[in-house]
Amino acid sequence: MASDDLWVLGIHMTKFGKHPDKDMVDLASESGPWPTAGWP
Amino acid sequence: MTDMGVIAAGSLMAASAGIGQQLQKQLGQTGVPVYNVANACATGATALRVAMMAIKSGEADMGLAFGVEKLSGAGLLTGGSRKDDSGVFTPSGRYGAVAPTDGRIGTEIMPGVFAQIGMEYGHRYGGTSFELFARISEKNHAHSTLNPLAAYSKRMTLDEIMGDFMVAYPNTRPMCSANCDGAAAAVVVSGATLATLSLEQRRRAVKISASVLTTDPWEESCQILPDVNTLTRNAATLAYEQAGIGPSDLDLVELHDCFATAELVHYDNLMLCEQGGAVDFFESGATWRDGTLPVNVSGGLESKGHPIGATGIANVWEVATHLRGEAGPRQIDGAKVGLTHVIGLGSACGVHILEKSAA
Repeated sequence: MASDDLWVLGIHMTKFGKHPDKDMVDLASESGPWPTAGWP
Repeated sequence: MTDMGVIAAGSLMAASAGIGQQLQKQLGQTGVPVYNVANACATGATALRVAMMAIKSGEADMGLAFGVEKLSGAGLLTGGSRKDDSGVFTPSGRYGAVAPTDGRIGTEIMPGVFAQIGMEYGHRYGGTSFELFARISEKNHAHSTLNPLAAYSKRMTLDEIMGDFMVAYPNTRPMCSANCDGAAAAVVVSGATLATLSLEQRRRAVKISASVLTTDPWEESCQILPDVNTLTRNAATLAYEQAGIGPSDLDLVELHDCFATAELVHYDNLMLCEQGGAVDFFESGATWRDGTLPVNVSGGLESKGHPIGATGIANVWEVATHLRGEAGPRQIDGAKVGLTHVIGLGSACGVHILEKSAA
């Protein structure tokens, strides 16, 4: 892999839909891609 | 969070809320730069590009890009305002020589614009019909049944789609993207930093072979009907050049089917078929999950949903998940290269080409 390449290391999304009990920060926090990037 | 050198946060409806800083308070205030981004329906894709550009510039080795939206029940998002001047136009202001067209000639509401764009394609090339557009939606709703993260995972028959509430001919309600809530996030890393990580991380990483953002060049016809074609075709051309591939190399595509009519014209704009050949391309069955070039295996915006700020990263998630071989029952076997596309009126178009890791 070339040093100037760019890579997606981890990526995640929430279930899309109606989430009246969650605000934007809740949703954004749930989308955290850490496990998919190889971190716990 | 301590590894993140930059954060790019996308949200259209909360553009001035400082959502990036709000998220930092939950995940860790490390003092790194935060860029809050709003760029129409390309907001998420733009946030991703901002994180990428920070890495390209040397400002960071690794960055977090996320997009989030609360959109349930938002209704029509722009235009549609009734003019109160009784049809009499008085030129004024910098652009006073040009009357706003909304409500006079055509419309600026999203369903109206994209209905017109589909009808224009049919007028130019032939072969379109209400049923044809509905069958595009039938495909996407069928695909959604395999995506547990879709807002709507219900298979719909052609009769159900065509018989539903008409929003703007020829798009009925199931043929329109679903306003909903959601978020998506990505960690982007430089190749140099990735090389220092574990074999498993290198194996699951997905290469961003192309990243392009375009806007409308001036077109005379744009002054009445927004042009979603030229900027998409320009973005695709640049993306294929950057990646050094052509459309025939793609294994799957996630494109911006904000309406069923939009999906048809973007087959052409993304050069998945020859110019004017979108109807034949769809009729060949190519865009179904078991076709030669599956399009919107996630269910697309019509089923998966369209929380605007999240959409441009969510479609990268879909393609990346296939390239990682982790898409479960909807996996496109052997997927190595995929393309994502979003477009916002006003205008902004983002195209990314992603490749499976060789590690």
